[in-house]
Amino acid sequence: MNALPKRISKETERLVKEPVPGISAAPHDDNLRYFDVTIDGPTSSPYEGGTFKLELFLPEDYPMVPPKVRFLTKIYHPNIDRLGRICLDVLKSNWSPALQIRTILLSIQALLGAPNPDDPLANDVAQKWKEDEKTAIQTARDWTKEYAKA
Amino acid sequence: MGNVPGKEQQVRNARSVSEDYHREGQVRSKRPSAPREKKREPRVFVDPNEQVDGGYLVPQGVYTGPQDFDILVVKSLMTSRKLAPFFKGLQDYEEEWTDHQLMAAIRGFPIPSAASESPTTESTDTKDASASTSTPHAISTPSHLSPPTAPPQVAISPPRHTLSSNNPFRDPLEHMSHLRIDLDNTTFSQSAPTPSWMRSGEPDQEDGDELINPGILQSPPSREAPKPPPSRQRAKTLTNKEPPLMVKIYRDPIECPICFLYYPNSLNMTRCCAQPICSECFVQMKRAEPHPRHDEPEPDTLLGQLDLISEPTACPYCAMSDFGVVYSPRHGPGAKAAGANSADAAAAKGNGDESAIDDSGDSSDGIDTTNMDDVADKLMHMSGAKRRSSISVTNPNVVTVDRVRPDWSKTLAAARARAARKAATANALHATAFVEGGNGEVAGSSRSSRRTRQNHEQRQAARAQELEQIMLSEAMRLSMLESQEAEEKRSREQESK
Repeated sequence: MNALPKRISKETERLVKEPVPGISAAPHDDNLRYFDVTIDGPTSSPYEGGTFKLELFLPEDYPMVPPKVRFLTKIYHPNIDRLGRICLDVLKSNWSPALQIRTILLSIQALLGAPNPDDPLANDVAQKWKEDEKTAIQTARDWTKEYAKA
Repeated sequence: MGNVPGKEQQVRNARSVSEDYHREGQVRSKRPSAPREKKREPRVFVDPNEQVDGGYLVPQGVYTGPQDFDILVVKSLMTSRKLAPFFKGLQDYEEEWTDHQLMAAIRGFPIPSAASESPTTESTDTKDASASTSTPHAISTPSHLSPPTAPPQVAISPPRHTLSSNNPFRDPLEHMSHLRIDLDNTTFSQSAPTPSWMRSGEPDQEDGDELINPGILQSPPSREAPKPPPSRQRAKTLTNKEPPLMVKIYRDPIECPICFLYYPNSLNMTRCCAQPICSECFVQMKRAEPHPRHDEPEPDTLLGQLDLISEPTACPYCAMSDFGVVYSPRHGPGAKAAGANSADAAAAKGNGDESAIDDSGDSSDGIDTTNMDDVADKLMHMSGAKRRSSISVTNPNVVTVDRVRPDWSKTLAAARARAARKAATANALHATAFVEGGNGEVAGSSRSSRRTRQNHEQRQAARAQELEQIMLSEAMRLSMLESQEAEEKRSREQESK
């Protein structure tokens, strides 16, 4: 493996130095491109009070390609599927090398606060969300309580 | 220097200087160079030692993946100074660094303590710098090391020093040894140290060389001032030796927002939002892979699959389409020396310039492009004085991603041809299945002999193949047509530029 690009070490450094409230990201000791991430559910969302674990990996071509991010904690969300994969434009076609780990994690946190059932990844959840939002939100709340409590 | 030399003058000077250094370079290249290292991407056709504005024409190793941009196009853009050269990026930068420390950083060495350089050495350096007749930038600004003790007598070299490249006989491997710069400090210091002979066009470099090879004393034609005998200490730190010009170039650097390295502040600016981007990051930008239109309802149809698109790269900062950058070396620190002058010159030209700047956003086609200096002045004003409006992508000074990656249309055509082949094969399979289905009925009813059935099957296979061929060629014809159109459109665009 090649030496760690300065960009990655600086990003890591800055993440540690100026952490984002409600978000943590720490690299593995044996693989500095692999991060353990936690995101707190945004307030006044069904995920409030939950702490969600994610994994984040910076591919070789980062930052020319987006980081790979996946939820490890089970979550009931129309844009996150059962495997924890996230449907978010900035993680795919709208990625820009000027974005960073920090901004991506903030986007994910924002996605928790603003589910978008019209562009679903988890079809069944999105369906539910559209048909019966109240129940869907309650389910999300229940899942948060069940899986995302420390 | 009272005023800025005209374009022609600069070019002439650059040429003569480059010849001088070219000669020196030849002499010096005989010296043993740094330990050879394996190079990732052999690119022997661009001399890695060649410098423009203190940067190189080959990437400095920020990205380790395939360097699949058009290196010759990039080289020509850099030598014509439409794109910043590949500066060596600094890992860190502290404002309070002394020149000595900054030099160490440029060299990729561990940063020494601020007091590590003895005053005697420093004063020696200064004398050398001011005594050297080829000091380009010390002409109008004092060296950062400390004010020169004597003004330079002759100003033969312009702030631009484009090295001539026509020396195909240098050992390419020798250059490669300097190419790789790893990002951790230790390897950086192994591979990065550019022998001072490579830093042509910069004053004061001879000192270090003399220490190694006194014979070289004769070769630089521009030397006049006799040197004080080098101290022992200098001999020890001679690889650290960097001319003050480098320090100037790297003072007040800009951090590239993409690779997070520090570069001279004459970096490329995006045409749309005037944000900096280093050339190394810029040449990594590329169009996304060809993909079907998002609004295509039936991508499974032949037409849908053929209708792949590939949009121009968007600006990484503001997402504006047709990402492009402009480089105006003169708003850099090297130019700061001449900056006051050129600003004066611009002002002297009257306020027509100022209004032209404002226009440049929407009517840049109308910019008088015959005078590059004017444009450079404008850009300098724009980036310096106020937030400038965006520059049109058709402005001749804008370098787009497509320009350094001209093969995008081929990629798109290839993807379309691939899709066409796939579609044709799928259709052929359908057709074959249909024919075979029909055949089954026939065979069942006629109880044909084994031989005739075989015969039949062979004929059918042949027919299916034929059908596939027809569909394939049709699909390819379609995609060729499209790519031709795209090509024509492109060349039309280029002509109109």
